[in-house]
Amino acid sequence: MSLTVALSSARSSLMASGVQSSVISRNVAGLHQDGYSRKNALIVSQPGSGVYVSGIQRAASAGLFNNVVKAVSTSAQQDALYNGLQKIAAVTIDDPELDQSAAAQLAKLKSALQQYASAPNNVTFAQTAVTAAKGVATALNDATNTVQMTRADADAEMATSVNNINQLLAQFETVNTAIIKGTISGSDVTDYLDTRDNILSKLSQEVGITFATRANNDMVVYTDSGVTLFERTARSVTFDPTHSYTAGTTGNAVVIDGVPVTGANAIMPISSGKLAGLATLRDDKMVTYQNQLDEIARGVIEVFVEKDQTGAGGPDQTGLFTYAGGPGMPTTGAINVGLAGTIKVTDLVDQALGGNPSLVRDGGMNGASYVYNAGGEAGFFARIQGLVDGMAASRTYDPAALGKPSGSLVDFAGSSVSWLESQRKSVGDEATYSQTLLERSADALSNVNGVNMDDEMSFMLQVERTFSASSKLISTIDDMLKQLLMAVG
Amino acid sequence: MSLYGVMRTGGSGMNAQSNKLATVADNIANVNTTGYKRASTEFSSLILRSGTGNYNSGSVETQVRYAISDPGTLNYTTSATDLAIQGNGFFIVSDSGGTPYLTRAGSFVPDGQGNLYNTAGYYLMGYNIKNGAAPDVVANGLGNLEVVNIAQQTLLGNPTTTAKLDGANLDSNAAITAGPPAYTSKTSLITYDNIGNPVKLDMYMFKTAANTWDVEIYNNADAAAGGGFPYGGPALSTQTFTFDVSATGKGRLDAASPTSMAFTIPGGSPFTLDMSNMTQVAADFQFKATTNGNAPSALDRVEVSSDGTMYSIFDDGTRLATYKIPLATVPSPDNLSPEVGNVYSISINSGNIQVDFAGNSGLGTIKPEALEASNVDLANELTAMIESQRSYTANSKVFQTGADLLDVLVNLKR
Repeated sequence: MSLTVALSSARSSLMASGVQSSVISRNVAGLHQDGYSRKNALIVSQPGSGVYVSGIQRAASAGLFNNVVKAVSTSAQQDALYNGLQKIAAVTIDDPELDQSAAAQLAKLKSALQQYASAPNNVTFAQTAVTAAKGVATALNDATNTVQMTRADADAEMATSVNNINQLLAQFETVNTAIIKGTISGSDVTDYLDTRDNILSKLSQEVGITFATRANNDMVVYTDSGVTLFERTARSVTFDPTHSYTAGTTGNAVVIDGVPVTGANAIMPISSGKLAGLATLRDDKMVTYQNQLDEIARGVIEVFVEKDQTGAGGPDQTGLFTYAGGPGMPTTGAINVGLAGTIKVTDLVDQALGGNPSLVRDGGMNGASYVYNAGGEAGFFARIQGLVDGMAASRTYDPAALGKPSGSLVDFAGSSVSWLESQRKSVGDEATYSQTLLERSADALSNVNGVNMDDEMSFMLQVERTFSASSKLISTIDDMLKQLLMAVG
Repeated sequence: MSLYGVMRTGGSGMNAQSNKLATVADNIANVNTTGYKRASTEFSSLILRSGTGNYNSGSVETQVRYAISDPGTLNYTTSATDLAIQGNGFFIVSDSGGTPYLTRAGSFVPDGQGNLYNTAGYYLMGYNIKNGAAPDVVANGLGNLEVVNIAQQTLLGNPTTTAKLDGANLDSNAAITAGPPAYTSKTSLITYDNIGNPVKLDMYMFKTAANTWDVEIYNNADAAAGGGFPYGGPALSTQTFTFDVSATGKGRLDAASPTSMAFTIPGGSPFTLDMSNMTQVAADFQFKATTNGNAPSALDRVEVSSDGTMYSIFDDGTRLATYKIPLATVPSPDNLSPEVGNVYSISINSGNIQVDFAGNSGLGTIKPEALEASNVDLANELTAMIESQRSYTANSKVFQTGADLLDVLVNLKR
């Protein structure tokens, strides 16, 4: 029986070498493929009948993969936030030459008024002051538009992200079922496992996740806050996008499996992933910045207020700066949502519209009782000086705006700029840090499951030697049988 | 007389060698037959009683032996219904007439009705365990066995009856909630009703006081548009759990607290959710549970485990034990009588049949996707053939010499 056993052992070795070389070629092919993990054929010896391939194994590390998934989520969240802040900063504060910020425009207005105060009879100076005032209003309007557009963009990106999540979960279901079936029947599921890990990485980019493996390689996925995303079947992730934003608009929450996970009313709020970053941008950072703009607008309107000069106790009315709700004054001491979007310079001082710039000096934009320069003197500077002093005077601001609680208008506008800068800086640092962390985690994982070309090549030589030795054995056994047959003949 | 004896002896020797040659011929013919067991010949002498002065030659008697207990090597295949036995034992098969036989040839394929039969046309026998009952084994007989059929149960669903927590934690630092629609945490589980519809259960956790949690389970089908409260129907089950935060309990369920929730799934079966693993420690909320049951789905394929349990694997990945394939053995396997088609029947010398499962009482295990090759070794057979050829020639020489001597004797008289 020994010759036949030798023949069958050599044949089983050939078969095993065949499988091994196919695994090597899979590894080489997957060298640059994203998410590919090294495969390994498990060769088991069978007493009396050579060897057989008991299965294909995958080099993987659940712990390291978990780290990568977490890092991907954090990085995606910080990136989304950073990109949004960057967008705002680029349009409002970044270019000092353009003086786009409200703070710079306020400083300009202040110096124009000071100049006007030194020569109250100079109509050109009056005109310059009005132009500077227009600059302040435009800066506030533009910033409001940008902030609201950024919120709308974030909202649209959230809708895309939710679509992606639903698509990925549908793919996950298909792959997961294939893995369970393959695991139960003992077939090679390693490629499916790679695909599933890939889907998980993509999913973690959109939303922070945790996952666990159950019997038969079945996987369950939860958000980082514990809401079920996948358990036997995909859960629904819904989001109703809002297409246009104004300062007062509150965006809709993303709802996963019936639980709101973003926004102020979130019950189990997610803390990482692109979705979390976009939601923070839309519902928190941008709202705060808008509040600061609104507080600046309120301050400006209040500085340029016109008071009743007759002593009749008429109500305070808006002066140089007015807004959609003018000429009545905006609510004092609190944020007037959307004020920065509607603030404008009154038409009464605009020469192009038949106005008179000298009203800045004289007052009276709200009728005769509000005229400061009652004598009609050309050199009247008290009102202008009053305005300059008002701009420098300390005022209080709503602490909810997260700017300086008190200080001059220019100071507050400056604190708003530095708030945005510091946000951008800290988020930028976080983004860089989480990017580094991600790279390191990915490196660590790749050291475990990556394909090493040199390794594969030397392994291929080994397999080749085994293969030639086995074929040599077969031909030798064949010769021996031939000799035996010749002896019979 | 002894010269005639010499010729008879030579004849019996030639007869014995031709028997040997016949077994060699059969062995070589079946060198690649799955499950074939080598036949060999043993000889015993039949010597006549002789006096001291003379010798009467006797003859030789042929005994045919079968190496039935000698295992062949395993060849690996890709068919899940190719079965081999590693170790002792035989598959129980029956012919179309229902007569049982034993075999090691396990190359089974389904026929038109889904019955598994091997190359020689014998049907594989097994115990039906589809109803979930333990197989009813008759240790010394072949009762209760039926032909293994893999074509059935195209659509089959199982209602969910139990769920077990793999790990669940309620965040001990969560704030106390007022009750619906506010809640602390939510998760959901897919279960199946009696006819296989998925029923999604929404589970809400409410922290009502320190270390005290209410868990309410609702049917997701009753949820308000967009999910969540208010539900169209009452809670399916409500239970209050308390946790032991002492140094001994460390956040596990209090001894006095209930440990499970039991209710009937809408349209489904009574369901018990075992919550005994739930904890309340200072960690994030998590809820990982495994439920049984499956939706109706088509049969995808079958597989056989090493203990002989045949499973049906459905499209959604669940598997169901359908048959238990027993192994049989006899006290003296080599004395079984071979029948056509690599099967053996029980003979007087083999002893009685004993039936048990793979791995039990000295029986081997079943190896799927493998076949047992014939245990014939070609080199051995060829040498036996040469040997037998030479012996035959020698015997014929003895016969011829006897005949020649007789000739000489006859020619003495002219």
